[in-house]
Amino acid sequence: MFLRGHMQNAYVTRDLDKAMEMVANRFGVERFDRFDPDMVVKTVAGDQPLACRVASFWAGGLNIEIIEPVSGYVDHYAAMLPEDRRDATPRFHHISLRRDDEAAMRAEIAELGLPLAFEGPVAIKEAIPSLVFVYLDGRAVLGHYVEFTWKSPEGWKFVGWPEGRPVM
Amino acid sequence: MHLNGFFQNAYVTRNLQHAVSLVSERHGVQDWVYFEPQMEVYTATQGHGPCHVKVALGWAGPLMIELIEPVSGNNQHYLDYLPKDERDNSPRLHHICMRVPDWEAARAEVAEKNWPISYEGAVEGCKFVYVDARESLGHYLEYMWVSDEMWPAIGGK
Repeated sequence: MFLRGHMQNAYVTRDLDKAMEMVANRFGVERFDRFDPDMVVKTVAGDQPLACRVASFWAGGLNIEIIEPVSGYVDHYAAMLPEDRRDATPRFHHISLRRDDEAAMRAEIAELGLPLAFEGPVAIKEAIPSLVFVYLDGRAVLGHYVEFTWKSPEGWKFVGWPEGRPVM
Repeated sequence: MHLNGFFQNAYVTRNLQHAVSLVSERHGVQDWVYFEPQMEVYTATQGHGPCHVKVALGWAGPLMIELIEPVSGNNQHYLDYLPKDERDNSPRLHHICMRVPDWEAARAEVAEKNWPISYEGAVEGCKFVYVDARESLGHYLEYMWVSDEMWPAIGGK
């Protein structure tokens, strides 16, 4: 069951500040977790730089993530942005699935057989707990990308995993 | 209310069986529940009238995947999210759904907050309203009440 462990719906935007304002006003979000990763990711074209701006919040057991691609290997994010460059409205980009065994996750990804978009971080400037994310291009099947992510216990704490929220 | 009670990502497709096959073969979702409601509904763009859709429901742990093929009637809100290529039968995310425990309270909150209603209807054991959140999340939000009898019938645990 490749879709088990769903924990996040993620969106892309052309302007994170405006998107956060839209979502905060609409959904009463009082605080976003903010992170601006500047990293190197693994791609089919070799290791590439990727910088983006990220905001997220938890709605019960669902994490909502909003990403503004900034520079580098961002075509997979940009592919889902609205055509109008003035439009900051978030657009659905991927679902994220939690895994707690990295080796098993990689075996599962190989079996799934979706094209790799990118994975990382190969390197990252910020000091963060151990984690791995793998973006797969699932557009031909679900119309969007699918992310698998393994994190250390410290990594799940870092992203604010709700206490008691089961992993299913 | 907002996003609490989330349990479903819902997609539209031009061909339900094709979409079910795609998701089953690639992602391993099995045991689909099928139904084909023909309802009287309200939509913001077409008013009150009939709506005919084909639906398949599958589960991936606690996440329900809903696939919807609009057939006829007041379903412009579905058609708007289909791929431009008419030969493309792959699913497109249309809305996310939150289960509400108290329909009257939820519906009153939608009205009180003046959230724009795009689509509203009911079938036996289920009442639903779609709120237009395209300006904030790029898609619709559905709030659904399901009876305790209907929930296990659609695979809920």
